[in-house]
Amino acid sequence: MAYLSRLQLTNFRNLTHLDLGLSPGVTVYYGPNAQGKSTLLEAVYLLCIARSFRAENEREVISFKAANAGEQALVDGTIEKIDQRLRVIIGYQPIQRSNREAETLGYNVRKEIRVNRIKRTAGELVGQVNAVLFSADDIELIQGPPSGRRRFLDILLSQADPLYLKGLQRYQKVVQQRNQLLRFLREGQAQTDELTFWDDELVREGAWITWRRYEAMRVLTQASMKHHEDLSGPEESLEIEYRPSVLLGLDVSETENNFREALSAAFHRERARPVTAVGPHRDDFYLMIDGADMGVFASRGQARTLALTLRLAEAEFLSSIRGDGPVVLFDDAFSEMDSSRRYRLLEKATRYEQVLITTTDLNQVNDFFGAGANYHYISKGQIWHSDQNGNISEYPVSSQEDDFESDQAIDESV
Amino acid sequence: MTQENISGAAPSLARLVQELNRLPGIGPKSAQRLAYYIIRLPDDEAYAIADAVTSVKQNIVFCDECQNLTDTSPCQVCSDPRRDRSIICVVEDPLDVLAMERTRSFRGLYHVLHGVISPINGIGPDQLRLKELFTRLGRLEVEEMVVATNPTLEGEATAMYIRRHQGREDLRITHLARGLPVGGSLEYTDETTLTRAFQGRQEI
Ligand SMILES: [Zn+2]
Repeated sequence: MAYLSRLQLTNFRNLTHLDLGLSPGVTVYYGPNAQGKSTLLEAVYLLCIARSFRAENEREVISFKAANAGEQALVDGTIEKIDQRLRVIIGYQPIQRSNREAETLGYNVRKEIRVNRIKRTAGELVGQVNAVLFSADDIELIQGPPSGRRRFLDILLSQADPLYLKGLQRYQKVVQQRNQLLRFLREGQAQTDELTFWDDELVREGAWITWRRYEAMRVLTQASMKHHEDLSGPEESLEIEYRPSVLLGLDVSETENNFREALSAAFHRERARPVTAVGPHRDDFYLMIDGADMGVFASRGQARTLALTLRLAEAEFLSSIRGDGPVVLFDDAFSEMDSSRRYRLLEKATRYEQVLITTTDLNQVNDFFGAGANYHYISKGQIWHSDQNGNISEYPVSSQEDDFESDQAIDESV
Repeated sequence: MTQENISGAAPSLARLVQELNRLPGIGPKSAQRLAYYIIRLPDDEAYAIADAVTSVKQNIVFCDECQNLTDTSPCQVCSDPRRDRSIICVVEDPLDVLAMERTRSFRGLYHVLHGVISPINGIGPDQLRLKELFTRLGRLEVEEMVVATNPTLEGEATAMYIRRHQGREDLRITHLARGLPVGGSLEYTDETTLTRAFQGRQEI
């Protein structure tokens, strides 16, 4: 088991002070747009994957007012696991930069992660508690560029295995260093033999990442086919094809050999255009229905269903690998969906221990859950208890006075 | 530090704040605090700081042998007859020499590279004191070279480059053990460190 039992937010986007108790089961947050619903899920997902899923630059997460005042933003979550309680605190401290170039950007942030008071890296946090996020933007997984699909695989594998994230981070650094060296080579400012180390590392880490993705894709494909049939009926047959940049071998070491050959073959291309031409940073996977590439031919409805299918497969993958199921998050994910499909989706998702749902329209969920969920109304960063019919409590759940403890947490995490 | 932040301060004071602010780890606030602290110091103490800065810039040179920073070349370590000349320890920068010396467990020679290979920072083999190292290896009677670069990607790249280019066949080349921090606990050790520590396990 793993669920979030308490969430405290300080200066996190428009949520200045929030202290929220949570329970297992389904909790619905509804209310008009831009009142903090997505921000709430952003914070929960951040506690799991150590990164914001919305921010281009993570300094965005500090409220504008707090950043100006030099105050930090805090996301403070308490997670109940079967054998322990985890307190995860992620703090963002705005730092005024002194040089001219940074003045136009305004400020930078220093991010700090603590788990049970001990300072941790992002790599050490990821995988402690898993989460799967269903969002309206997921349609990009099907119709968007390959980078979104690689990111999907990377988040999934990082949550399943912390060593994957380490390997990936190392691989990304190798690619950066190698690209710069290729630029120097073209300009005659470096010797070819300086590539040796970076080539070796690229091949070693890259082949391993390719192989891990391949293994994960096999499991994901099985799960996706089943979920897709459940959601869409048996008429459409789904296939998923992993297309790695480097030809797969029968095992990691054969894949390494293939990688090395591909790299040699790319020699002239890489000299002409100095970027690393082969490797898992060029991978993609294709979804096909009855042989048609859904990246190109999916209707909007088909693309939505396929995205949900991938998310359901992700959740299943994580619970099969880690034992404790992921926290399941739905961020306004039900629009443009007919009720039978919505029912089937909710039926599958609510098998997980904790499900947090945001929606602008209470009617998208209360017909399914009735009295079987907790309901909250969110407006202007405040949260009220509600019943399934939208009758809200007189006073908000959390008021400014209740935040004394979270102020102490600020001191602790500095 | 922006001009607005220090308007109202005398120009000479503003200049001091600005200079201090350029030091690593010193933000605008600390720079101001330090500047006002210096102003309140007795004259001789304040001049002692200025003099120390001037003197370090005038007197410090690179040791012709090990490339460490020194007042006189060859440096104290290189000219000490009691040092073990059969072993040489290659480090990234002068602070690493201090760290090794504090252990009192290494009595050999050093070589300071002044950096690590990192293309994105514009540092290749030619920017490091590698030629000097390879020349020394040809000349000295060392039997073992400990490549003590940091266990980072760039540190490894540098170690690999040294191993491939050092040119002596009879040289024993080692690196520092990657292991558990003393006083650390298994529970709080990341997987990579633990894996490497396990691979490097020893008889007790
Ligand atoms: Zn010396």
